[in-house]
Amino acid sequence: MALYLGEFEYAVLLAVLHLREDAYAVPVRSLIETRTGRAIARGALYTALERLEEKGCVTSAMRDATEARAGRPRRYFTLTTRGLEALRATHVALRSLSTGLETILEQP
Amino acid sequence: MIATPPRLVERLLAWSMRDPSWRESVLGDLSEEFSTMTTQAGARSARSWYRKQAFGIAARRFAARLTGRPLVPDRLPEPTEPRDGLSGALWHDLRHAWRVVRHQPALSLTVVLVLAVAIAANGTVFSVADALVLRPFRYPGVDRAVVLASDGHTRFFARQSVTPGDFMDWREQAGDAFSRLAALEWWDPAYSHDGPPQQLAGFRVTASLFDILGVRAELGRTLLESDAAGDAAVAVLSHDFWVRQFGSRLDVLGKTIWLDTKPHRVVGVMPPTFTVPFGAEVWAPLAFTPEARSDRKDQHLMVVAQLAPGVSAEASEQRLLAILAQQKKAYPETHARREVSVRTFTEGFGDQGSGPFIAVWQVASLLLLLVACANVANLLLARNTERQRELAVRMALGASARRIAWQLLLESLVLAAAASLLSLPLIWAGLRAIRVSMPDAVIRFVQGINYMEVQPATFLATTLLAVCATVIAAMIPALRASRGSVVESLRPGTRVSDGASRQRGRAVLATAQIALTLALLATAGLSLSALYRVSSGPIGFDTVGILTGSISLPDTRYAELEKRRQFIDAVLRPLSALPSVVDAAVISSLPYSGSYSYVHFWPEGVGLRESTAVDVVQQAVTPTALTLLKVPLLDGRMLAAADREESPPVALVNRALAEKMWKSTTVVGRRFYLRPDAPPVTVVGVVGDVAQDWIVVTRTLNVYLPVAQHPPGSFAVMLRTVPDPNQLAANLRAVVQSADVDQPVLNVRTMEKVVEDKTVGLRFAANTLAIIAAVSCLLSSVGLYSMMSFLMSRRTREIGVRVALGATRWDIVRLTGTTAVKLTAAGIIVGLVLAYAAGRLMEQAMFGVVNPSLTLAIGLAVVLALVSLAASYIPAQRAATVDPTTALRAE
Repeated sequence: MALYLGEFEYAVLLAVLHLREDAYAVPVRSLIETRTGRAIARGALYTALERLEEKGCVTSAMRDATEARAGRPRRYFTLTTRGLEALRATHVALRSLSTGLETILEQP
Repeated sequence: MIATPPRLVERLLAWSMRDPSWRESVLGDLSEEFSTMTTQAGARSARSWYRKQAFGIAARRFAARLTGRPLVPDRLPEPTEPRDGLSGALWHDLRHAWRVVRHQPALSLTVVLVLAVAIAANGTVFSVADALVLRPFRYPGVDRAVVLASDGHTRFFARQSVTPGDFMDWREQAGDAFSRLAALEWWDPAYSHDGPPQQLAGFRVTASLFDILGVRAELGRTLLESDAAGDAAVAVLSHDFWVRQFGSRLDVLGKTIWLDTKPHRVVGVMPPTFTVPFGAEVWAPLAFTPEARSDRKDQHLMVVAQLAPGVSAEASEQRLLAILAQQKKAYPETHARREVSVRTFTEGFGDQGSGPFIAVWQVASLLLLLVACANVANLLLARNTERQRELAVRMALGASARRIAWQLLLESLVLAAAASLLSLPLIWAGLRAIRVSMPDAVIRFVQGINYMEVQPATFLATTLLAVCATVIAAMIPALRASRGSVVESLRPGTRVSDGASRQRGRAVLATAQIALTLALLATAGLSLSALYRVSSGPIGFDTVGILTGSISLPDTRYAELEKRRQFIDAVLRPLSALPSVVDAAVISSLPYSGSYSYVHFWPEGVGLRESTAVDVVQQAVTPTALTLLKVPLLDGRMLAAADREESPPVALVNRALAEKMWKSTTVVGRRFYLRPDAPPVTVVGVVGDVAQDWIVVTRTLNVYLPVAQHPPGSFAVMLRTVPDPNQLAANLRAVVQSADVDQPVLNVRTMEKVVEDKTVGLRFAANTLAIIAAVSCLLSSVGLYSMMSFLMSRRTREIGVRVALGATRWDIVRLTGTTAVKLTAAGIIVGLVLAYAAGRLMEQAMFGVVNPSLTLAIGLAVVLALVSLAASYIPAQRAATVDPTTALRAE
């Protein structure tokens, strides 16, 4: 049984998927903000990423310690199979509900 | 140098995260964004941004740790733009208000300080009023407790006025009006232990007193009904006495203490807040002998009762009046002139003197607040004129007038919030100062002094005041600003206009400040002059070089008059023999000691009925007592050693009594009666009037009787000494000890101290008022000064033109000074009217001790006029030195 995601986690996973190998917290956050117009709290994002990792939806790797980061590495996230399944399940469920309503829903 | 994130915050954030790899990456992310921020917005905003983010993340971590589960939001947050809704708008407006307030630090600080001082004055007085007058007794039963007295609704409530017989009648017949009744009787026992005996403030009370007030013992128990019947005497101690005498030891229960040379078993200790009545230290059961139960003459009891459920104090008084009507028929000779009244417990046992004082303070501090409000309103008005163009731009961009007014109001609320926060420590300090300045001798008897601290009620009242003050101060400027004409203000080159109505508004405010200040100064002046009169005015006797000490002989051992005579003799004889003592005498009650007794008085030839009696103050004195006090003899002779018990009864009367009774001061040989059943007393001399108490306005009627014929049970010893009287205190104590080992001496102090202790309240009130008035004077001169400088700065160009056209410096000063003179004159005229009203109020509140005087008012008006003109001269002078070229260039 695939995992069903809440709106917040759904958005975070979609952003990770979009960013592919550049997916660490800073661009994830700004992507969500520019695409949705919602400013999410950094604290909430970190907690969500941590939880998603615990659930096995993403894995992370530390690299790219630059001077601007005071020598601290970035934590890059990659979507796992389980994470992809969860994204798909949520997406399909929502899409099946919205099928046939595109003319109404796609209006600006 | 590369900007670095705030270290401390960084450390806090690091500490909030346990997992080291997460810690590294999160700190790294923030550093990365921080450096981007620094290049875009500068180091300052970047640091502030960093702080905010770090706190946000750390807070979430801590919350997660506390609740045990990670806080992941289900949904994305609401869109950030556009911010809408009430809370968003309010938040936005508040932030804007804060920016404006911070933008003008000097003005904001002035406003906050002025408001804070005024609010603190009000808060302090309110705290004092709340503790001492409104709620001095905070016991569970106090709301249903009333005081019953055989006294009408007079100004000075005689609570100690009930006979045991009447108490019994009420208890038996008024059960429908009162659930319980309790009687209290002064006792003042001598407490004997190792060392010299002490006089305690003690009361004999019926057990129901504790039940009525709903107070339990802190240790052991309170009195029981059965204690009065039992043979073994018991006593309940006050907390203070227990701490002082027994070092808070728990084994005090069951101990035997010696009171009036009789053993009493300690059964309980009361909590520290319970000292009812009047700083009591020990309570013992009150028992009525069969004779006492039918005593309808000796009005010495105080009676407290608990109202029956559903009965009001008024209804209960009607019940007592009905009983009194029957009593008048049954006992016409004692009850013919008797009255009854019921008062609340707080009214009955509170300090009757402090109420009016505190009312005057409260009025004074409210006036101060008004002055402060006028001042603040003036400052805000001036500032809004400065900001007129900004406001006009905002209105042109579509802000409604209401919104602008709201914004301005909000700005002042921010100021008010700061002021009320600042006022709290000021109130605290004020209350401490009040407490410290009260003499120890007085503090014990001040009910509710323990509650005199910053309390939630104070905080609430303060905040409320701050808000009201702000609304008053901000409304006028806010409304005016929002009504401004947009087009006019935006036209280039227009002087930031200063319309006639706006100028008028400021003039009214300045006038109001001067007027209120004059009223305050007059109030303070009146109380200071009253204080001067009371403490240094003619009081009819000499206070210098006299040592006094009070002695209260217990009835148990000194019921026989002969024993009292012997004791007095045994004390006076050795004292007179001391080389440094000029004279030693005894008086039954010292003037200004606060305790004096009235007796009935009938001049010879008048029917000896209750209704024809005149009440006069009776004092028993030894022959030299009045000479010692330097009370002048006007006619006849002083009392002499020859006026003994067996010789014919004689007396001295004072001038007021002689004039009232016989319309003459040569009344030697006239006779009068003090009791219908006793032989007449002959007047042998007339002496000058002596003030018994500053509170008593009219001259008291006095009769002085020889101690030999009327030996008192309690009296004061007076020594006139050559050196400093205080040096003889030990001698006085030693002599009393040798006359009776178990007899304490109380209140050994100089006569000057006796008077000072009595006037300390008035002194205190007068000083406080003077401080309030001085602060107000300062505020209004600052207000006038700031207003004048503002007006001058508005007129710089006009003045420049005048100077360029040849006006002299003096012309300019005169031109600008006219405004100040007009304002001051108007303020002083209104102020004189207010001062007159305040004087009348004070006259009523302070028992007529103050008398409004025209000279005082005029003198103060002149002083105030000078201060206010000086405050406006400086800006006028500055305006006159304006360089025309600069002035003409000024926008």
